[in-house]
Amino acid sequence: MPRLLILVAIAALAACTTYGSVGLESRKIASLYSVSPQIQWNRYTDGDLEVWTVDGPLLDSLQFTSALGDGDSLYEIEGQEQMPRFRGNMSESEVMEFVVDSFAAVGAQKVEPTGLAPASFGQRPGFRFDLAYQSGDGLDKLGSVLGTLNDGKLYLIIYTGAAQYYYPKYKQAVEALFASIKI
Amino acid sequence: MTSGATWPALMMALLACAGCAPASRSELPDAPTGQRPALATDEAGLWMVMDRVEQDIRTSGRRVSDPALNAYVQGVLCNVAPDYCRDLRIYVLESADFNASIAPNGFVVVFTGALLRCRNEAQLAYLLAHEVTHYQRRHTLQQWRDIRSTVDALLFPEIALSVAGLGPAATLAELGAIGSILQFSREQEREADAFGLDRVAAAGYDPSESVDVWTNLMAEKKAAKDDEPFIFFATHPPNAERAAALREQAAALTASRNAGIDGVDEYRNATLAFRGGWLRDELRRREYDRTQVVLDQLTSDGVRLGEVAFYRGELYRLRGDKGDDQRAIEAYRIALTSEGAPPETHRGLAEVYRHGGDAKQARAEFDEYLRLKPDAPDRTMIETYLRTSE
Repeated sequence: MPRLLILVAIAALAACTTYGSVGLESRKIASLYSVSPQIQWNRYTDGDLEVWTVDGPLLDSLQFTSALGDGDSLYEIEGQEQMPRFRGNMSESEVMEFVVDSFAAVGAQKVEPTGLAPASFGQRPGFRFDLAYQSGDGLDKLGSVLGTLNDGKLYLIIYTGAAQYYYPKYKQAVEALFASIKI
Repeated sequence: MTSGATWPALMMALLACAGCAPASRSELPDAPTGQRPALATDEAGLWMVMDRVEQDIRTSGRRVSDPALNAYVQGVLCNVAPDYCRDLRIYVLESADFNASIAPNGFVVVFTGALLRCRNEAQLAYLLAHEVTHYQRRHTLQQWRDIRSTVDALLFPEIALSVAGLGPAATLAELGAIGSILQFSREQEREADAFGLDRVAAAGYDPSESVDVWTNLMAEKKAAKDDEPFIFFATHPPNAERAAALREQAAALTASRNAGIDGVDEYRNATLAFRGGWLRDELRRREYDRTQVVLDQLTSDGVRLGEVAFYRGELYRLRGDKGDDQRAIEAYRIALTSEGAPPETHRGLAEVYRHGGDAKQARAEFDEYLRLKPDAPDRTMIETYLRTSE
């Protein structure tokens, strides 16, 4: 094999995402809370994000943020500094705006939030809202976001999936997972 | 959702590679009208690649489907290119970038960021006429042939598609510029400006408006402290020399015929309803210095100033630098005394008052926001705040 191809192959392997599996037992997240997974998920990490999926992240994805503090972004794009940044004094409405703008920054289109309302995040007060948007290649997607603000830190759980089939398929399990949060 | 955009680096590598090729004036005859290239030619291969790109753009999430807006832009295109009107297809794509491009198979991409920055129909006509010249003079095909010495031409379509397929954030639509993935030579750019301006004048537009397109972009580029250029700048470098050449040609053209129209009313009628959404997209880039220039230019236009002032308030609220809360309040207040301020102006004010601990003012503004926008997506949350903050 030519040397260049070997190097390309090694680089490709290094870039591969490593998946693990998530068992049904309770799992600790972001050193703050635990959830009961409800179903078998596959997991990997993307920077500080922990991502769970069953059929692949383009079809269904459950993201757990670490504790986001002042100046942190939800997503990172290499070489792009100008990302939406969380600020500790944000209201829940502004957090929703931060999530919507973060989705747009990584290519989501026509992102429409709905239904921002108070919700329980385990024993803590939290909030939730829903999203409808399109992926860059035009696939209709839906999302549900549950979060809490705690001492200037933001914790989010973001469930997204293809509007047809995949989002509804795991919605019930995700709702049960939301309800299982223990601080 | 993943991140990590690698395609710009690859695209720039290709552009750099294309830049290695010696610049040469197109020796090809003009593109014929109403026909595809013969199947056995390299041009047919290029068209086939671009047909696949166009198919993806057609179904892209970025595509703006509003029929009236698309028809308007297509109409302006046909004004400056009556000879190629039936061969060219417009796609308006949602992106805050300033960009317009044409592919050798005849699809034309215009980003909403370009529509936001055009002040009138004559400026849009110049952008489109410039791109039409690249099509007419078959510049992409010429450049493709020129780089054969540095890249195997048979590989190029695959490379182009690989690059196009790599965009995690933007996918193929972001590369609407793929038709211009081969950087045009300076001579081709000059030709596109010169031929394009002739088309602008022949269509009855004021050619001097082309100068403002570049001077406004140069002001924006200067204000932006980052080194990240618009995609458009990679293939259409803005500089004073270019603006001067346009100014000289425009003067000659207007001396030899009627000055032409700027079409400002037609342009506003067609685009003003979309401007708020485009400004929201612009703010999402978080490139505040650049956006300030755009807002300054819109303020000088003097149209629907409440909307412009609202987005200036939003800029300060989102930026959150020292003193920005006060600047935001002033901008929101100006918005409320001007035409076109959206209900969200009251929400912006409420948020800034809440940051400053002024719950009474915050409640009053939230109340007004909910009154004006009964279907607000954050109604339940705000109603809870109103109950619990008393």
